Amino acid sequence: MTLKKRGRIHRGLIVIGSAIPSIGGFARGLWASEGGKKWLAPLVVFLCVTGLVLVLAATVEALAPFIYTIF
Amino acid sequence: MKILGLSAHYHDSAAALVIDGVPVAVVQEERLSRKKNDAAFPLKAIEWCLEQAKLEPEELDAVVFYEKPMLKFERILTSALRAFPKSWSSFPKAMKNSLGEKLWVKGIISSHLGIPGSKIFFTEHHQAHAAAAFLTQPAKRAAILTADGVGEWATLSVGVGEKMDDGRVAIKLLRELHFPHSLGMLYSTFTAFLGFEVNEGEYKVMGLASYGKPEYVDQVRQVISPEKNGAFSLHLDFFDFHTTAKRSYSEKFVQLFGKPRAPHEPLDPTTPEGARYANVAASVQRVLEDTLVEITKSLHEETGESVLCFGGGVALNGVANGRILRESGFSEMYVPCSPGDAGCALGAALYADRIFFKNPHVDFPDHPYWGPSVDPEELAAVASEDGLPIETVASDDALLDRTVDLLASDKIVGWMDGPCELGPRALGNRSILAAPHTVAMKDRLNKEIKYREEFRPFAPAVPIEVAGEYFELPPGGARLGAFMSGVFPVKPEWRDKLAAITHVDGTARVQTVERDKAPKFYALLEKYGKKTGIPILLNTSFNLAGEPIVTRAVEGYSTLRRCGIDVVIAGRYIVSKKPSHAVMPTDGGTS
Repeated sequence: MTLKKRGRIHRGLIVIGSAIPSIGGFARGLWASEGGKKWLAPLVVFLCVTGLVLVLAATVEALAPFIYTIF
Repeated sequence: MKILGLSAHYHDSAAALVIDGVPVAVVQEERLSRKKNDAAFPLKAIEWCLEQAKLEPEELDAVVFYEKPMLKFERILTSALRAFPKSWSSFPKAMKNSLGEKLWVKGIISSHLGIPGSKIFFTEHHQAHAAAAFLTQPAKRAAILTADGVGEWATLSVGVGEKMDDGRVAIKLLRELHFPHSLGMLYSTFTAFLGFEVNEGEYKVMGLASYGKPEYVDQVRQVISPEKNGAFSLHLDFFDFHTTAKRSYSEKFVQLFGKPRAPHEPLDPTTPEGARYANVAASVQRVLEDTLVEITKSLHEETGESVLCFGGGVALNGVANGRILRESGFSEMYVPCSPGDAGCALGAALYADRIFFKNPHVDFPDHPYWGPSVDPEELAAVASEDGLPIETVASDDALLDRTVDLLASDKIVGWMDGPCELGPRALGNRSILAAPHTVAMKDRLNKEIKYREEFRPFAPAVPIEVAGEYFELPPGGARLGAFMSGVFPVKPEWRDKLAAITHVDGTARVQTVERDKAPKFYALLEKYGKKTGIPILLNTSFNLAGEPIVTRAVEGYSTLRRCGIDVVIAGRYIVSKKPSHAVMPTDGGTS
């Protein structure tokens, strides 16, 4: 048996689609935490979104030059 | 329920399939990809596991990942921010490393397996370790200790586990210690200081320790301090692992212990510099043991349990395990066959089954043979293509007799039988076997086959019933030896006759073999005992330095062609080298 091969764009879009609720949940958890980690939430969201943009660049090659220009 | 457990992305990725509470297939990715310590997302391992049960991914009820990536990211980020500005230069790399595949595990699983996010679950890293240690052994109740480098935040946890009469399971965490205070990181720091590869060379530190004297114990105690309940804290001035990935120890550490060893520098414990390294290794080993003994003593007093289950990479330290069993007060101790991250794939699946889904506990055999089976025909085919001599025997009994004859005449045998083992140790299904009697055999194995440092010992395999005749086993020692998890003294009267497996300090990492778990290997030991008077064989993993243990017969055959093994056996085929077959030079297999 081999796992069904999906295209890079298809896989990338699945990753991005599932990441958004994960980031939201994580940021909400930090915001609600009592350990003084509230201040970490905006930074986490910023870094995670940056990570997602990089995933997008790797997924859709046509966008990569524009995205890497930002960095 | 059909549950797939996964571990990946740091070291030793693996997949484990549990159906109706029982493991069906467990394999490390490295055994299929042939990349040692392969940390990639375990696609090959997943495919193999699903194939064993003839399942499509959509038929899985749940996929469970062995840690929480977001929590881990929080730890990495927080640690980097705490270490600012020292961490400034390594921050971009740390973020790039974390923000890639490692953070988006849910999506990665979904995209590869085509299953919805609602079927994907996460355990905490140390929960997976605890489950792998507690749920794979037969005791109904036990205290649980897990210790490794780091999971999300936890580096060590203590707790208790209970399998209730109605089938319910409880794993209760009592306390945990958080990064950067970590026994695993302490040991890894010394591994790096001694010039060995972190996450790979810790065995070498343990082997080297036997050549030294613990003269640096006071210095090691300056970098780690005991706390309440047997806990400890590291003095972070001496370490850099929490601020940068480039170096584990600080300049202050070097001032305390002297010049670190360069990886390429020869290591000879008989030279003054080599003796210093051996003394440092002996000292950190002593402090690690003392710390673990204190933790387990305290855990024993607190829980009143008689059985200890120990998981996490630190549980691979067999010398420490021997001392824990002797000194902690626990009468039995269980270390799973794969206490490290690979075993977490199985731990995560079992944890989800028993705790998340509240399925009743089902007992299953606690053997390590969950991997792909060997196909002897493959060996015969490839050997005949190359024109190597193939001997076919008529029965298993004849095979064992022939193998014993070969071993008794000092031949080195590559032995492949049945499913391969889970975990870092070859336990009789993918083993290189040899007579354990002479130092010459040990030297030959080191120089012609394993291409490794002379100070590293080889392990003996012995039928469990007679292990106590040859080794000084404390109560519970025979059980601990089932997966080579304990180091025990060889009885003085046998040391000369077991010179190849007796380490410089008179100890050995014993494997006790049970008839019902490994019937063929057990019978081989028995027959060898009848022929030579000592039912013990030297058992080392069937691989070359830098390679994973062989899985398929062709890999065993390839190993035969590249080193000084005399014969390879699979099924009823015995393949020998041609007498003129040249062995590669001794530096050919190092990496």
